[in-house]
Amino acid sequence: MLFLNMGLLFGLLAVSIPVLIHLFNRKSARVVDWGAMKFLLDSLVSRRRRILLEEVLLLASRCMLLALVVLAAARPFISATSSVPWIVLMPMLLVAIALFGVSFAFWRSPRLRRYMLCAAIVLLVAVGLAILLERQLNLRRFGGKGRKDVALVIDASMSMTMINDGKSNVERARKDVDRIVAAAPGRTAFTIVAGGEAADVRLSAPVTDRTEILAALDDLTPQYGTMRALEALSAAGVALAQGDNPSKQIVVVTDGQRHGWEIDTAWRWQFLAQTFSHLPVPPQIIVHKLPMPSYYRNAALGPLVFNRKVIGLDRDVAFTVRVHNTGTEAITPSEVAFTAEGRVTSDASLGQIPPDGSETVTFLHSFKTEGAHVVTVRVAVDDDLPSDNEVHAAVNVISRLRVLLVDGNPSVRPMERASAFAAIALSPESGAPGETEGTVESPTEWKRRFFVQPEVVEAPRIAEVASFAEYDAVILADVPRLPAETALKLSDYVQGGGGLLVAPGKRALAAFYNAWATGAGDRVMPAVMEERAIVPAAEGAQAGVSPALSTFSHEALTLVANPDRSDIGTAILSAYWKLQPWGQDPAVQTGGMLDSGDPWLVERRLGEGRVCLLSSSLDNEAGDLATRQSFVPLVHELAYHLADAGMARINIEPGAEIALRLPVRKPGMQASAAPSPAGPERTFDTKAIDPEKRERQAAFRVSSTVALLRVAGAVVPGLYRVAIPEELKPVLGWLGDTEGHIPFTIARGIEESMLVSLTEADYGFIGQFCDIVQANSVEDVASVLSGKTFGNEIWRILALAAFALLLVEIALTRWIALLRQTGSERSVEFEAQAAPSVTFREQLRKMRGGAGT
Amino acid sequence: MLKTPDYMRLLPPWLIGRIGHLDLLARGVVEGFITGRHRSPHKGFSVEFAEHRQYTPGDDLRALDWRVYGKTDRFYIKEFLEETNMRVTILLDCSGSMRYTGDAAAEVDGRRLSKFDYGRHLAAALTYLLVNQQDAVGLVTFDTKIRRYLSARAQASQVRRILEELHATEAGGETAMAPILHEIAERVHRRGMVIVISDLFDNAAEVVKALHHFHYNRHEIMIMHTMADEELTFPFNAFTHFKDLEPGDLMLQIDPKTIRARYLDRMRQFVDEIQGGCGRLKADYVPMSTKLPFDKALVDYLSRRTGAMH
Repeated sequence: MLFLNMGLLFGLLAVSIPVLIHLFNRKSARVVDWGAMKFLLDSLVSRRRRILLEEVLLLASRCMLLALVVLAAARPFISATSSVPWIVLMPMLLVAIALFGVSFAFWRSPRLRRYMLCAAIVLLVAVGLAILLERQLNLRRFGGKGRKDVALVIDASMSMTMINDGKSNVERARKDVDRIVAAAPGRTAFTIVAGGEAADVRLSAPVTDRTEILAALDDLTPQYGTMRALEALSAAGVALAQGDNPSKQIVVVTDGQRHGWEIDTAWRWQFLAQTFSHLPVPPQIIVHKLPMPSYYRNAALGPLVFNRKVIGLDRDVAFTVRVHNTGTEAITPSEVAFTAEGRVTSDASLGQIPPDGSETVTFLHSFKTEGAHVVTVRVAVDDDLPSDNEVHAAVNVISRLRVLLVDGNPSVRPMERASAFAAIALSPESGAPGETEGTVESPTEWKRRFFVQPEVVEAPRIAEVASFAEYDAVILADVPRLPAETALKLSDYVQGGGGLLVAPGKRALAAFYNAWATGAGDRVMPAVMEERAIVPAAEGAQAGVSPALSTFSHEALTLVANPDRSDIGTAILSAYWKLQPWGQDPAVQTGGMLDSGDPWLVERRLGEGRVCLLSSSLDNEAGDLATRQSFVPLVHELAYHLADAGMARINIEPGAEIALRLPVRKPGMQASAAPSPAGPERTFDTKAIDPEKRERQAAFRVSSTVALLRVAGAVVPGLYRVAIPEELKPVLGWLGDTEGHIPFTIARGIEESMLVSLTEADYGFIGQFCDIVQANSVEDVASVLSGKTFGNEIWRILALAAFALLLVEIALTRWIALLRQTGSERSVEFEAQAAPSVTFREQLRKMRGGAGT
Repeated sequence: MLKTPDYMRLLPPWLIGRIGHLDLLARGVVEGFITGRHRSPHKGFSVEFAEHRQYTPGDDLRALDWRVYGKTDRFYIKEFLEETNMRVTILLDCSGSMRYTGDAAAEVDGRRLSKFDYGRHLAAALTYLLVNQQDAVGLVTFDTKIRRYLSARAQASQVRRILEELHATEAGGETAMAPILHEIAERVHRRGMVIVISDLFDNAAEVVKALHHFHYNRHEIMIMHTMADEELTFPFNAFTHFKDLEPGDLMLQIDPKTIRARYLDRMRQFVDEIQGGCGRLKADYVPMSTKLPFDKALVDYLSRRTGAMH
């Protein structure tokens, strides 16, 4: 607490006026020789405590009233950086003054009076010291009038686009920054950082040229992400280090959204503090918070998710999006529009969504053309933050999957083959062609309509497979063992992004599988095949174990995990391999168990690909699994899951940079059709269009199996499109859309839409690491830049308190007068009666009568 | 020229002039009152001739001195010592509290009268009046103990003795009304009238109880309750040191406003209690505020008393 009119504090001497009047009254007391002392004493005995209380209350209220008037006139000023809160200091001061006044009411107790006076003096001195200390601290903290380097960090997050009173906070920020720059002392040097997902340093070193500063602000537009405060502050620190002035300050102009400040990650703030400590003086952070409306409407879309990882032309894909109401008022979206392949489907069934509520919308879409597509969902609603009303997903539709089935039992009887059931399940070769839309299909066409195209190769002839790379998945059906060269090729295939399923039966040699290793010596299998367990036949019942649906946690098993819709649980396995998963390996996951407690499906990530190991075979030799109805979806799901490893990841989570790993092989493409990339690893530069429709630099680094795409600049959530260089069109063209662009998205979290503001506790947390100050207005910021403190004046509060105290004093006086019955005392009747009393008169009459006789 | 004795200040000539005309009235009052009360066993005895006094209508014709009438053609009554109508004992409080004067008190010779002075003047006037109408008058001055006891006599010289005594007495002791009244009641054997001139500053119930003692002894009681106006109105406003007039140096420093209401309540209660007590004892209660000139107060009272008899 400081005072703008410090000199007026001498007016506090006025509090001695009531005391002096009190003392004067006592001193000038007239001496009266009094007879009726008994009555005085009687009256006093019952009143003494009350009289003291009245005097105490009156003196305290009058002294405090005068003190409040003087303090209000001295214009107390609460600095935003106040170390001792005024709510403590001011009452201390008033208590000291009250004690001073009250002490004189205890005229008869000199010792008590001395104690009270001492306490008053101690309190006064403490308050005085606190005020002086704060004055000194402020002078030191705000650096006086010296030259300064100032970094202006402007929040460019999505929430800054919110319309409040017809204006967005971005416009406000720009205007405020203009004013701050104009109000700062001429010698102040500025640098400008736009804070978004990545810090955008507009002026790399502080400059004093106002035109240059304002020019750097011209094209400031909000990004579709969050302000990563730590990155922005760190970048500001780096820019400030380029300045020559010893005093450094960072002014953050923000709407104060908590998301992005990484509160509670103390280590990151510590790191920032360390960075700052390398500057000559650690910079002070001044947060200028822009106003946020108290009431606002906002619908926000969550991420767009779809139920299939491998999307083909064969079936519907369900796209699901959640519509959140992050505003303070209920909203009723008029419709949610889904756009794919140029067609718009809308859902207007959404009703009212209460604040903090959400609704889920699902759209089914069957893709007609292969290649890259962008799917967009947009919610139509009248709200204040339109930037989060749209969400995109990029999908790559493929026409077919090639699955290689290696048969370990190439029997002459087709149904005895180890891969027979699996092959039929994946693509029924027999059966009648159907009629669709009035045209009769040929068997070949009919077959082509099947998305998965299995190819069976007998185990002994596996060495003839030139390259596994042309297959999207490989299934080893009860294969006893593989030639060493093939085993190595297969493990390389998996490491390069392929999917392998091993379904061992009675022919499989555990020794081979358990010893199977990659070229680098890593084991391939996710579990040790210990022994083949044969369930002894029990009398009258079919002996065997069944898969336990309740244990199914694997992605590929979720579709058949529901006992109401799946009969996998009724399958009886009379023999199975006991598997012992590599427990210590974090890449190993057990996805389902048998009801005997042994693992049924174990998966291991290997390089870019994955290896799944089933403890039973896919034929009907040791059980009836293959005859279950749900066997077909099970095998399909496994195939999709295996193929997914080799798919292009084009919907990515935000990370430190934009980097995509794209396979150069088109799924389902045969070896002969696959173009090989030209030569060894090469880099191709290209352009990308970011969500803000700006062009960015991008580059492909292409090897024989994979193309690495990097896009320069901030990781802004949203939809990107990267142009495929001409040279790469043969290899990556399949990933592109009709215009030859590869679309990809970076997911946007819902947090930025939640509009949760930084709290005092959050500022407190940041305060542990940096010197952070909250400024409420541009004037506050300007006064800090001028080397002064800022804050609020509280004279109004004191004036109100003085007025209230005046009323209290009046009420007190009235109350005391009422208690004393001032003015309404009943006087003593002591007048001689007009005639002697009746009794006396009667007596007299009697006597007269007596005398007369 | 003869020098007027100091004690005569208590009975200045103008006072005699003022109360002289009350002589008959007063006597009538007193006598009528007394004859009614005293069926004297000594009636008809002529033990000791005292003096002649002029006939006043209402006097017993049997007491007429026909011999004198024969000689002078005037009516005179023969009065005998034992036939004195009334023995009056005046009890004057000399405690310190009686010294209170106040600013509102009546003045005599340019000097404000304290309650004690007021009482002295009353006592002097009553003595004169009573002796003048042939009644025996005695005086008891007291504070915590009896200071002086002059038994009742009817001689003219009694006036001088009482005046001298009154003149020589100064107030100053503490007050202990009740015990001292009991003591006096024990000492005044002969039935008669007891006039108490005091502020009665003691426990009211105790005082009334003590007065009852007189009543029990069949004395007539007249209370001349002497109070200063300030004691009844408590008009002080500013901070005041109240210094006790009675020994003990008690000093109270208070803001009178804070206790006025309560003080007045207590005082009113006290006066009411005394007055009520007097009513029960059939005693004549005479409030005497020193604000009124005592002669006027006395004349008023006696006039009222006379008026009540007719």
